[in-house]
Amino acid sequence: MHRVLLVVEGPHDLGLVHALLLRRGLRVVQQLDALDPELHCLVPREYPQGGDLLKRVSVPRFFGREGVVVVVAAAEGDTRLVATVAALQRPLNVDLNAVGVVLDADGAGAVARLDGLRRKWRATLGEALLPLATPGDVVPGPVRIGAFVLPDNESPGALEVLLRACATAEWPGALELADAFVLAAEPLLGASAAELQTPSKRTKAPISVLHALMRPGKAVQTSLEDGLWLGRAAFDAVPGLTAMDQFLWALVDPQPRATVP
Amino acid sequence: MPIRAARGRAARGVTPQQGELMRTVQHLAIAALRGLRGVELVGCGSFNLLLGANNSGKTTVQEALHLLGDPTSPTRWREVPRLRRTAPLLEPWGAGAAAGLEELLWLFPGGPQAVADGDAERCAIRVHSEGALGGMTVAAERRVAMPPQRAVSTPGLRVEAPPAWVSRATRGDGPSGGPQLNLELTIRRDGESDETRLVLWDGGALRERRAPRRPGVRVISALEHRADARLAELFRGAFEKGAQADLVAILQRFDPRIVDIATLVVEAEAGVPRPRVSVVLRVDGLGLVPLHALGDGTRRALTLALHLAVADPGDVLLIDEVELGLHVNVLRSIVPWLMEMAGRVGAQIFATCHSLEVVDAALNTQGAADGLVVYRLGPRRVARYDHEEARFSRAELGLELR
Repeated sequence: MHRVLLVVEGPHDLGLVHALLLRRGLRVVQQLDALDPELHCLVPREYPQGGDLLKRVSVPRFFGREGVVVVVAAAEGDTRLVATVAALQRPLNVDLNAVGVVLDADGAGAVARLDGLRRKWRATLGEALLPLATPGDVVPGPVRIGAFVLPDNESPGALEVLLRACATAEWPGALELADAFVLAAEPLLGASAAELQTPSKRTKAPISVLHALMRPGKAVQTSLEDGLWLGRAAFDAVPGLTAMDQFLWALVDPQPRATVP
Repeated sequence: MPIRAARGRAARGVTPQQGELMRTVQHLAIAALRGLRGVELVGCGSFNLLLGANNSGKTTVQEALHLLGDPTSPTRWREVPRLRRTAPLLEPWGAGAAAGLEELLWLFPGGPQAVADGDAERCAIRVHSEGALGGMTVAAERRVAMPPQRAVSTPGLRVEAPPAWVSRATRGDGPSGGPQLNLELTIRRDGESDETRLVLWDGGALRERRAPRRPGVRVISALEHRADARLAELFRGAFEKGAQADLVAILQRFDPRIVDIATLVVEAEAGVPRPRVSVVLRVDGLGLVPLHALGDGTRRALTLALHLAVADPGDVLLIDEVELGLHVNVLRSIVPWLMEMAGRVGAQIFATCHSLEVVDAALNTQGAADGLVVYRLGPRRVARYDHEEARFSRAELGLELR
């Protein structure tokens, strides 16, 4: 069995990974009985966690196909990425074949963010399995290891930057209208639109508008999971999306690889 | 099973250094003991929880520590394999004479068959620890030796001619016949290596006259709380240390009407050949209440409290299934109390556990961050969690750990 652990920053990142893995032929493992018994220890069995009645039970999402199982967990924040990798790795009685992390570049840039991740990684997990300093690369070996820095391993930003590029390729007219709508509606909302003042939220707003049209009444994650943003045009025009897909496959492909695809 | 040290070594009276009182055992490595191979407990804390499925080796880890506590003690070799059955004092050692040696043989990695086959590798116990107990390796091998005048065939065992040293060792004080277990121990402490031989055989009485080694390794077995005579013996030690108030305080968590604890002596009379001493509680409205009238939880808590009361600084307490008999609501207060008392005494605890309530209670104990370590024994590896790692796994990810 080829076992992969992938830890992402948040649920939207998980939604994108979900769609990309399904494109590669994996399926969501929904029933506990169908899950690799070695991974049962990663399934929480109780509520409330830590006594918090409002907190959702943090169940990793499991994907599989013959001979492959992928655990994807949202760390709920960049400061918890390494701790989550360590916590999910520790109870396993089997060796993982690959470990990956997906994080946002934010304003610091991809290399700086990866440097920060490596420092925490080294302090928590030691030198073994330390991701390469090059964002997006996967270290081949008995345990493949890599980190992808959204949006494209180079630019600042986060998932929304990548999604905006996808929308530009897939629905340029709709995106233009969404941008215009946000601009026009903002003053009409007054103080209620205060959150739009941050650049990242301003990037997210038109994305949310498009999502609301495609999956009204549902969380943004659903349109990501359904693969609506990942059409042919997006793959042709957005290098970051292709890089993300190749990064995941470099971890998930059960055949050992000498080089990163 | 009588056991005699052919050449013993006096207890050194090791005193833990200041600052190390909470870490008598800092590292435990079990190369071979029962079914465990290459198991390491790295970075032991002052309060160590041993988690894992049945047959994962939790009790074996405790056996390793118990052996290391006093490996040259014949009594210790007598006690260690019996902890799996019941409290040491509940069964006379002579019960089932053949079972004495038989139980010991299962301590060896290959079991009785490997020992019978003379498989040197598979009948060697190798355990090492670092800390105030001293770094030591205990290597033991077992041979079957019979007095040459008796040609007894024991099923499952190949009888060999006794080596010369066995004859010398048993001269005048040895068994008249039957299988023998010859243990050769190599003990390394303080940079020195010492070799000791123990000769063990079934039947007869055990005589050992020497001071126990310090720091001590004490075992609180799962059923000890039902052995009234044992509790009376412990209470005598606790009384001498003036621990009555602490004992009453812990008992009041179960029943606030308990106001005192004392011993009751029943004089010898017809049907009672010797005076019998038992522990009683004074309970408002009930008068003197014997321990056997109390619930399991109260007696279990009292047993834990008694052991802590008689423990010395640096002692190691091995608690088998710490949650046994205790309701979840009581665990929330007993576990912090246990950790606090252990810290106050300066004792180090290794407790096996199947209860998430115990884990959570330990994690939520004030001051636990410095001394709590959780080990999860799996079939292939031991996962170690410090306080923050365990807290994150439990509270943030909802992982079971056990």
